[in-house]
Amino acid sequence: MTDSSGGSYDASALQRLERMGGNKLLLELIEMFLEHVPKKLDDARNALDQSDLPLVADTMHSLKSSAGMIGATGFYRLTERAELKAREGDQVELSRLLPEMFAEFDQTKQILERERQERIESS
Amino acid sequence: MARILVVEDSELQAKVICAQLEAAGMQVLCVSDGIKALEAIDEDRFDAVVTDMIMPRVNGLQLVESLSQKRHSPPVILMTAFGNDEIAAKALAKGAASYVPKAQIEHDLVDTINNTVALQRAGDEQSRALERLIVEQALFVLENDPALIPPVISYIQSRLNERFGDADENLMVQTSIALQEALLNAIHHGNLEVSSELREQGSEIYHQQIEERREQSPYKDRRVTLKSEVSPEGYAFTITDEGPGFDPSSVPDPRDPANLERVSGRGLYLIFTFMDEVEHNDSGNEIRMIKKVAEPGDNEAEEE
Repeated sequence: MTDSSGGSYDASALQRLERMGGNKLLLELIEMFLEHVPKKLDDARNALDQSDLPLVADTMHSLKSSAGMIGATGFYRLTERAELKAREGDQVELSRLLPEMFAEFDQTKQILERERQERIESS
Repeated sequence: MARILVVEDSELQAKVICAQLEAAGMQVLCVSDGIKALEAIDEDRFDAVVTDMIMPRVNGLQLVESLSQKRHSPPVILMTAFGNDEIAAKALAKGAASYVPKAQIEHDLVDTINNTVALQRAGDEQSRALERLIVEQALFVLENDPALIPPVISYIQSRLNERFGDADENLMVQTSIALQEALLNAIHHGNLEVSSELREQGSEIYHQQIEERREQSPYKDRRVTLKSEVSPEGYAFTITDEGPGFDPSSVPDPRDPANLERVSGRGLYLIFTFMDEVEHNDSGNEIRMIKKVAEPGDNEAEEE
Protein backbone atom coordinates (compact mmCIF):
# COMPACT_ATOMS: atom_id res chain seq x y z
CA MET A 1 0.00 0.00 0.00
CA THR A 2 1.31 3.44 -0.78
CA ASP A 3 -0.11 6.30 1.14
CA SER A 4 -0.90 9.53 -0.64
CA SER A 5 2.24 11.03 0.91
CA GLY A 6 4.27 8.42 -0.97
CA GLY A 7 5.55 6.12 1.79
CA SER A 8 4.97 2.39 1.35
CA TYR A 9 3.08 1.09 4.28
CA ASP A 10 1.20 -1.98 5.59
CA ALA A 11 -1.79 -0.86 7.63
CA SER A 12 -2.44 -4.37 8.97
CA ALA A 13 0.77 -4.15 11.03
CA LEU A 14 -0.72 -1.50 13.33
CA GLN A 15 -3.90 -3.54 13.65
CA ARG A 16 -1.82 -6.57 14.66
CA LEU A 17 0.07 -4.53 17.24
CA GLU A 18 -3.18 -3.20 18.62
CA ARG A 19 -4.48 -6.77 18.95
CA MET A 20 -1.34 -7.80 20.80
CA GLY A 21 -1.14 -4.95 23.28
CA GLY A 22 -4.02 -2.54 22.94
CA ASN A 23 -4.14 1.09 21.88
CA LYS A 24 -1.76 2.20 24.65
CA LEU A 25 1.01 -0.10 23.49
CA LEU A 26 0.46 0.90 19.87
CA LEU A 27 0.81 4.60 20.66
CA GLU A 28 4.00 3.91 22.66
CA LEU A 29 5.44 1.95 19.76
CA ILE A 30 4.66 4.67 17.24
CA GLU A 31 6.33 7.19 19.57
CA MET A 32 9.38 4.95 19.98
CA PHE A 33 9.69 4.46 16.23
CA LEU A 34 9.48 8.17 15.49
CA GLU A 35 12.17 8.93 18.12
CA HIS A 36 14.34 5.90 17.52
CA VAL A 37 14.76 5.89 13.76
CA PRO A 38 16.33 9.37 13.24
CA LYS A 39 18.92 8.62 15.92
CA LYS A 40 19.75 5.26 14.39
CA LEU A 41 20.01 6.78 10.92
CA ASP A 42 22.45 9.38 12.30
CA ASP A 43 24.43 6.56 13.95
CA ALA A 44 24.55 4.73 10.63
CA ARG A 45 25.70 7.87 8.79
CA ASN A 46 28.49 8.44 11.32
CA ALA A 47 29.53 4.80 11.12
CA LEU A 48 29.61 4.98 7.32
CA ASP A 49 31.74 8.15 7.49
CA GLN A 50 34.21 6.17 9.60
CA SER A 51 33.92 3.15 7.29
CA ASP A 52 32.69 1.04 10.21
CA LEU A 53 30.56 -1.21 8.04
CA PRO A 54 29.88 -3.87 10.68
CA LEU A 55 28.29 -1.17 12.82
CA VAL A 56 26.30 0.04 9.82
CA ALA A 57 25.09 -3.53 9.25
CA ASP A 58 24.06 -4.01 12.89
CA THR A 59 22.24 -0.66 12.89
CA MET A 60 20.39 -1.51 9.70
CA HIS A 61 19.44 -4.90 11.09
CA SER A 62 17.91 -3.24 14.13
CA LEU A 63 16.08 -0.68 11.98
CA LYS A 64 14.82 -3.43 9.71
CA SER A 65 13.24 -5.24 12.66
CA SER A 66 11.55 -2.05 13.83
CA ALA A 67 10.32 -1.19 10.34
CA GLY A 68 8.88 -4.65 9.86
CA MET A 69 7.14 -4.50 13.18
CA ILE A 70 5.46 -1.13 12.53
CA GLY A 71 4.49 -1.93 8.93
CA ALA A 72 6.81 0.55 7.21
CA THR A 73 7.34 -1.68 4.19
CA GLY A 74 9.18 0.85 2.02
CA PHE A 75 11.58 1.67 4.84
CA TYR A 76 11.94 -2.05 5.59
CA ARG A 77 13.06 -2.79 2.03
CA LEU A 78 15.65 -0.02 2.15
CA THR A 79 17.09 -1.15 5.49
CA GLU A 80 17.18 -4.74 4.29
CA ARG A 81 19.18 -3.71 1.23
CA ALA A 82 21.44 -1.47 3.29
CA GLU A 83 22.18 -4.29 5.75
CA LEU A 84 23.09 -6.56 2.88
CA LYS A 85 25.34 -3.94 1.26
CA ALA A 86 27.02 -3.19 4.58
CA ARG A 87 27.82 -6.89 5.05
CA GLU A 88 29.13 -7.01 1.47
CA GLY A 89 31.31 -3.96 2.13
CA ASP A 90 29.68 -1.80 -0.55
CA GLN A 91 30.23 1.72 0.76
CA VAL A 92 29.26 3.32 -2.54
CA GLU A 93 25.79 1.80 -2.57
CA LEU A 94 25.36 2.61 1.12
CA SER A 95 26.17 6.25 0.44
CA ARG A 96 23.41 6.25 -2.15
CA LEU A 97 20.91 4.46 0.06
CA LEU A 98 21.20 6.57 3.18
CA PRO A 99 19.64 9.77 1.81
CA GLU A 100 16.90 7.62 0.30
CA MET A 101 16.24 6.13 3.72
CA PHE A 102 15.97 9.56 5.34
CA ALA A 103 13.46 10.59 2.67
CA GLU A 104 11.45 7.38 3.06
CA PHE A 105 11.36 7.85 6.80
CA ASP A 106 9.96 11.36 6.43
CA GLN A 107 7.07 9.97 4.40
CA THR A 108 6.48 7.13 6.83
CA LYS A 109 6.57 9.60 9.68
CA GLN A 110 3.67 11.55 8.17
CA ILE A 111 1.60 8.38 7.96
CA LEU A 112 2.35 7.33 11.51
CA GLU A 113 1.69 10.80 12.95
CA ARG A 114 -1.67 10.76 11.26
CA GLU A 115 -2.46 7.27 12.56
CA ARG A 116 -1.38 8.34 16.04
CA GLN A 117 -3.61 11.40 15.95
CA GLU A 118 -6.62 9.40 14.77
CA ARG A 119 -6.19 6.91 17.60
CA ILE A 120 -5.77 9.61 20.22
CA GLU A 121 -8.94 11.33 19.01
CA SER A 122 -10.94 8.11 18.90
CA SER A 123 -9.91 6.83 22.35
CA MET B 1 4.87 -17.68 37.01
CA ALA B 2 7.51 -18.30 34.37
CA ARG B 3 10.52 -15.95 34.30
CA ILE B 4 11.65 -15.26 30.78
CA LEU B 5 14.73 -13.43 29.53
CA VAL B 6 14.21 -11.78 26.13
CA VAL B 7 17.32 -10.89 24.15
CA GLU B 8 16.52 -8.50 21.30
CA ASP B 9 18.48 -5.52 20.04
CA SER B 10 15.50 -3.83 18.35
CA GLU B 11 13.81 -1.72 21.02
CA LEU B 12 10.45 -1.83 19.29
CA GLN B 13 10.55 -5.58 18.80
CA ALA B 14 11.63 -6.05 22.41
CA LYS B 15 8.77 -3.90 23.67
CA VAL B 16 6.19 -5.85 21.68
CA ILE B 17 7.51 -9.24 22.74
CA CYS B 18 7.77 -8.24 26.39
CA ALA B 19 4.23 -6.84 26.32
CA GLN B 20 2.95 -10.03 24.72
CA LEU B 21 4.64 -12.27 27.29
CA GLU B 22 3.55 -10.13 30.24
CA ALA B 23 -0.02 -10.24 28.96
CA ALA B 24 0.34 -14.05 28.97
CA GLY B 25 1.22 -13.94 32.66
CA MET B 26 4.99 -14.23 32.42
CA GLN B 27 7.62 -12.25 34.26
CA VAL B 28 9.94 -10.76 31.67
CA LEU B 29 13.35 -9.13 31.56
CA CYS B 30 14.45 -7.63 28.23
CA VAL B 31 18.10 -7.06 27.36
CA SER B 32 19.58 -5.79 24.12
CA ASP B 33 22.47 -8.17 23.44
CA GLY B 34 24.07 -11.49 24.27
CA ILE B 35 26.61 -10.12 26.74
CA LYS B 36 23.88 -8.54 28.87
CA ALA B 37 21.98 -11.81 28.59
CA LEU B 38 24.91 -13.82 29.98
CA GLU B 39 25.29 -11.33 32.84
CA ALA B 40 21.59 -11.58 33.64
CA ILE B 41 21.72 -15.38 33.64
CA ASP B 42 24.68 -15.35 36.02
CA GLU B 43 22.78 -13.14 38.43
CA ASP B 44 19.29 -14.57 38.31
CA ARG B 45 17.28 -17.65 37.47
CA PHE B 46 15.19 -17.82 34.30
CA ASP B 47 12.86 -20.52 33.06
CA ALA B 48 13.70 -19.79 29.42
CA VAL B 49 15.60 -17.43 27.16
CA VAL B 50 14.07 -16.03 23.96
CA THR B 51 16.69 -14.60 21.65
CA ASP B 52 17.08 -12.87 18.33
CA MET B 53 19.75 -14.38 16.11
CA ILE B 54 21.53 -11.35 14.69
CA MET B 55 22.73 -8.97 17.38
CA PRO B 56 25.84 -6.90 17.99
CA ARG B 57 28.64 -8.16 20.28
CA VAL B 58 27.29 -11.66 21.01
CA ASN B 59 24.76 -13.08 18.57
CA GLY B 60 22.15 -15.79 19.16
CA LEU B 61 24.43 -18.64 18.12
CA GLN B 62 27.25 -17.43 20.37
CA LEU B 63 24.80 -17.08 23.23
CA VAL B 64 23.65 -20.68 22.79
CA GLU B 65 27.26 -21.87 22.63
CA SER B 66 28.16 -20.01 25.83
CA LEU B 67 25.15 -21.37 27.68
CA SER B 68 25.89 -24.93 26.55
CA GLN B 69 29.17 -24.72 28.51
CA LYS B 70 27.31 -24.05 31.74
CA ARG B 71 26.20 -26.93 33.90
CA HIS B 72 22.73 -25.54 34.50
CA SER B 73 21.31 -23.07 32.02
CA PRO B 74 17.80 -22.23 30.89
CA PRO B 75 16.48 -23.56 27.57
CA VAL B 76 16.92 -21.15 24.64
CA ILE B 77 14.20 -20.41 22.10
CA LEU B 78 15.37 -18.74 18.90
CA MET B 79 13.48 -16.06 17.00
CA THR B 80 14.34 -16.67 13.39
CA ALA B 81 13.90 -14.54 10.32
CA PHE B 82 14.33 -15.09 6.60
CA GLY B 83 18.03 -15.33 5.93
CA ASN B 84 18.87 -16.67 9.39
CA ASP B 85 18.38 -20.32 8.48
CA GLU B 86 21.99 -21.39 8.57
CA ILE B 87 22.88 -19.71 11.84
CA ALA B 88 19.64 -20.92 13.44
CA ALA B 89 20.35 -24.49 12.34
CA LYS B 90 23.77 -24.26 13.95
CA ALA B 91 22.25 -22.90 17.15
CA LEU B 92 19.75 -25.78 17.29
CA ALA B 93 22.62 -28.24 16.77
CA LYS B 94 24.51 -26.52 19.58
CA GLY B 95 21.65 -26.97 22.03
CA ALA B 96 18.88 -24.42 21.48
CA ALA B 97 15.57 -25.95 22.54
CA SER B 98 13.22 -24.58 19.89
CA TYR B 99 12.57 -21.73 17.49
CA VAL B 100 9.76 -19.42 16.40
CA PRO B 101 9.87 -17.58 13.07
CA LYS B 102 9.49 -13.85 13.69
CA ALA B 103 6.52 -13.79 11.34
CA GLN B 104 4.76 -16.22 13.71
CA ILE B 105 5.63 -14.59 17.01
CA GLU B 106 2.12 -13.29 17.57
CA HIS B 107 0.63 -16.79 17.22
CA ASP B 108 3.33 -19.21 18.36
CA LEU B 109 5.73 -17.60 20.82
CA VAL B 110 3.67 -17.93 24.00
CA ASP B 111 2.75 -21.57 23.33
CA THR B 112 6.33 -22.46 22.42
CA ILE B 113 7.62 -20.89 25.64
CA ASN B 114 4.97 -22.64 27.74
CA ASN B 115 5.74 -26.03 26.19
CA THR B 116 9.48 -25.60 26.59
CA VAL B 117 9.21 -24.44 30.20
CA ALA B 118 6.86 -27.32 31.07
CA LEU B 119 9.34 -29.85 29.70
CA GLN B 120 12.24 -28.20 31.49
CA ARG B 121 10.33 -28.19 34.76
CA ALA B 122 9.52 -31.87 34.41
CA GLY B 123 13.24 -32.56 34.19
CA ASP B 124 14.05 -30.15 37.03
CA GLU B 125 11.47 -31.81 39.29
CA GLN B 126 13.28 -35.11 38.94
CA SER B 127 16.63 -33.41 39.55
CA ARG B 128 15.24 -31.84 42.72
CA ALA B 129 14.13 -35.22 43.93
CA LEU B 130 17.45 -36.82 43.03
CA GLU B 131 19.39 -34.17 44.94
CA ARG B 132 17.54 -35.31 48.06
CA LEU B 133 17.92 -39.02 47.38
CA ILE B 134 20.54 -40.15 49.87
CA VAL B 135 20.87 -43.81 48.96
CA GLU B 136 19.22 -45.83 46.23
CA GLN B 137 19.38 -49.57 46.71
CA ALA B 138 18.47 -52.47 44.51
CA LEU B 139 18.59 -56.22 45.15
CA PHE B 140 18.68 -58.72 42.32
CA VAL B 141 18.46 -62.51 42.68
CA LEU B 142 19.76 -64.23 39.59
CA GLU B 143 19.70 -67.77 38.30
CA ASN B 144 22.93 -69.12 36.81
CA ASP B 145 22.20 -67.63 33.42
CA PRO B 146 24.85 -65.32 31.98
CA ALA B 147 22.22 -63.92 29.58
CA LEU B 148 20.69 -62.14 32.57
CA ILE B 149 23.83 -60.10 33.13
CA PRO B 150 23.46 -57.53 30.27
CA PRO B 151 19.91 -56.41 31.19
CA VAL B 152 20.83 -56.18 34.87
CA ILE B 153 23.88 -54.09 34.03
CA SER B 154 21.78 -51.96 31.70
CA TYR B 155 19.36 -51.18 34.53
CA ILE B 156 22.18 -50.32 36.92
CA GLN B 157 23.86 -48.18 34.26
CA SER B 158 20.64 -46.23 33.80
CA ARG B 159 20.52 -45.48 37.54
CA LEU B 160 24.18 -44.49 37.57
CA ASN B 161 23.74 -42.26 34.52
CA GLU B 162 20.77 -40.62 36.23
CA ARG B 163 22.94 -39.79 39.20
CA PHE B 164 26.34 -39.29 37.61
CA GLY B 165 25.45 -38.40 34.03
CA ASP B 166 28.05 -35.62 33.99
CA ALA B 167 30.84 -38.01 34.97
CA ASP B 168 33.51 -39.43 32.64
CA GLU B 169 31.93 -41.78 30.07
CA ASN B 170 34.77 -44.28 30.56
CA LEU B 171 33.75 -44.57 34.20
CA MET B 172 30.43 -46.13 33.23
CA VAL B 173 32.05 -48.55 30.81
CA GLN B 174 34.66 -49.65 33.34
CA THR B 175 32.05 -50.06 36.03
CA SER B 176 29.96 -52.23 33.72
CA ILE B 177 32.97 -54.42 32.93
CA ALA B 178 33.85 -54.84 36.61
CA LEU B 179 30.26 -55.76 37.41
CA GLN B 180 30.08 -58.22 34.54
CA GLU B 181 33.29 -59.97 35.60
CA ALA B 182 32.14 -60.21 39.20
CA LEU B 183 28.77 -61.68 38.21
CA LEU B 184 30.37 -64.17 35.84
CA ASN B 185 32.79 -65.23 38.57
CA ALA B 186 29.91 -65.72 40.99
CA ILE B 187 27.97 -67.85 38.48
CA HIS B 188 30.82 -69.85 36.94
CA HIS B 189 33.28 -70.26 39.81
CA GLY B 190 30.96 -69.70 42.74
CA ASN B 191 27.64 -71.43 42.09
CA LEU B 192 28.70 -73.82 39.30
CA GLU B 193 32.15 -74.48 40.84
CA VAL B 194 33.84 -74.51 37.46
CA SER B 195 37.52 -73.90 38.05
CA SER B 196 39.11 -70.93 36.34
CA GLU B 197 42.13 -73.15 35.68
CA LEU B 198 39.94 -75.22 33.36
CA ARG B 199 40.03 -72.26 31.02
CA GLU B 200 43.73 -72.79 30.54
CA GLN B 201 42.79 -76.10 28.86
CA GLY B 202 40.55 -74.44 26.33
CA SER B 203 37.42 -72.44 26.03
CA GLU B 204 35.32 -75.34 24.70
CA ILE B 205 35.91 -77.64 27.69
CA TYR B 206 35.31 -74.74 30.05
CA HIS B 207 31.97 -73.74 28.55
CA GLN B 208 30.86 -77.34 28.18
CA GLN B 209 31.20 -77.90 31.91
CA ILE B 210 29.34 -74.67 32.60
CA GLU B 211 26.38 -75.79 30.47
CA GLU B 212 26.32 -79.24 32.06
CA ARG B 213 26.32 -77.90 35.61
CA ARG B 214 23.60 -75.39 34.88
CA GLU B 215 21.31 -78.42 34.54
CA GLN B 216 22.65 -80.43 37.47
CA SER B 217 21.89 -80.35 41.17
CA PRO B 218 23.04 -78.89 43.46
CA TYR B 219 24.48 -76.25 41.12
CA LYS B 220 21.33 -75.37 39.21
CA ASP B 221 19.44 -74.42 42.37
CA ARG B 222 22.01 -71.92 43.57
CA ARG B 223 21.44 -68.23 43.11
CA VAL B 224 23.56 -65.10 42.86
CA THR B 225 22.42 -62.01 44.73
CA LEU B 226 23.53 -58.59 43.63
CA LYS B 227 22.99 -55.66 45.95
CA SER B 228 23.69 -52.21 44.56
CA GLU B 229 23.83 -49.00 46.57
CA VAL B 230 24.07 -45.63 44.85
CA SER B 231 24.72 -42.46 46.83
CA PRO B 232 25.93 -38.96 45.93
CA GLU B 233 29.50 -40.02 46.70
CA GLY B 234 29.55 -43.13 44.51
CA TYR B 235 28.30 -46.67 44.46
CA ALA B 236 28.91 -50.12 45.86
CA PHE B 237 28.04 -53.59 44.62
CA THR B 238 27.91 -56.66 46.80
CA ILE B 239 27.73 -59.96 44.93
CA THR B 240 27.12 -63.17 46.81
CA ASP B 241 26.99 -66.70 45.46
CA GLU B 242 25.79 -69.88 47.18
CA GLY B 243 28.79 -72.00 46.38
CA PRO B 244 31.33 -73.33 48.87
CA GLY B 245 33.58 -70.33 48.45
CA PHE B 246 37.34 -70.25 48.42
CA ASP B 247 40.25 -69.00 50.44
CA PRO B 248 40.81 -65.42 49.19
CA SER B 249 44.34 -65.44 50.54
CA SER B 250 45.21 -68.32 48.23
CA VAL B 251 44.54 -66.27 45.08
CA PRO B 252 47.64 -64.69 43.48
CA ASP B 253 47.79 -60.92 43.75
CA PRO B 254 44.85 -59.81 41.58
CA ARG B 255 46.56 -56.50 40.93
CA ASP B 256 49.59 -58.14 39.34
CA PRO B 257 49.75 -57.03 35.67
CA ALA B 258 50.98 -60.53 34.85
CA ASN B 259 47.29 -61.49 35.09
CA LEU B 260 46.76 -59.73 31.81
CA GLU B 261 48.65 -62.49 30.05
CA ARG B 262 46.68 -65.28 31.69
CA VAL B 263 43.25 -66.52 30.75
CA SER B 264 42.32 -66.94 34.40
CA GLY B 265 42.82 -64.00 36.74
CA ARG B 266 41.83 -61.48 34.10
CA GLY B 267 38.42 -60.85 35.64
CA LEU B 268 39.76 -60.04 39.11
CA TYR B 269 42.50 -57.88 37.62
CA LEU B 270 39.90 -55.75 35.83
CA ILE B 271 37.72 -55.54 38.93
CA PHE B 272 40.62 -54.41 41.11
CA THR B 273 41.75 -51.94 38.46
CA PHE B 274 38.41 -50.33 37.76
CA MET B 275 37.00 -50.15 41.28
CA ASP B 276 38.44 -48.15 44.19
CA GLU B 277 37.94 -50.73 46.91
CA VAL B 278 37.45 -54.47 46.55
CA GLU B 279 37.26 -57.09 49.26
CA HIS B 280 36.09 -60.66 49.63
CA ASN B 281 34.47 -62.04 52.73
CA ASP B 282 36.38 -64.68 54.67
CA SER B 283 34.61 -67.58 53.01
CA GLY B 284 35.24 -66.22 49.54
CA ASN B 285 31.65 -66.35 48.30
CA GLU B 286 31.03 -62.65 48.50
CA ILE B 287 32.77 -59.72 46.87
CA ARG B 288 32.13 -56.08 47.65
CA MET B 289 33.24 -53.43 45.15
CA ILE B 290 33.16 -49.70 45.83
CA LYS B 291 33.63 -46.78 43.46
CA LYS B 292 33.88 -43.19 44.58
CA VAL B 293 32.76 -40.65 42.00
CA ALA B 294 34.32 -37.19 41.82
CA GLU B 295 32.16 -34.16 40.88
CA PRO B 296 33.12 -32.59 37.53
CA GLY B 297 35.79 -30.03 38.32
CA ASP B 298 37.10 -31.90 41.33
CA ASN B 299 40.08 -33.17 39.38
CA GLU B 300 40.86 -29.65 38.16
CA ALA B 301 40.74 -28.42 41.74
CA GLU B 302 43.11 -31.19 42.82
CA GLU B 303 45.54 -30.39 40.02
CA GLU B 304 45.62 -26.74 41.09
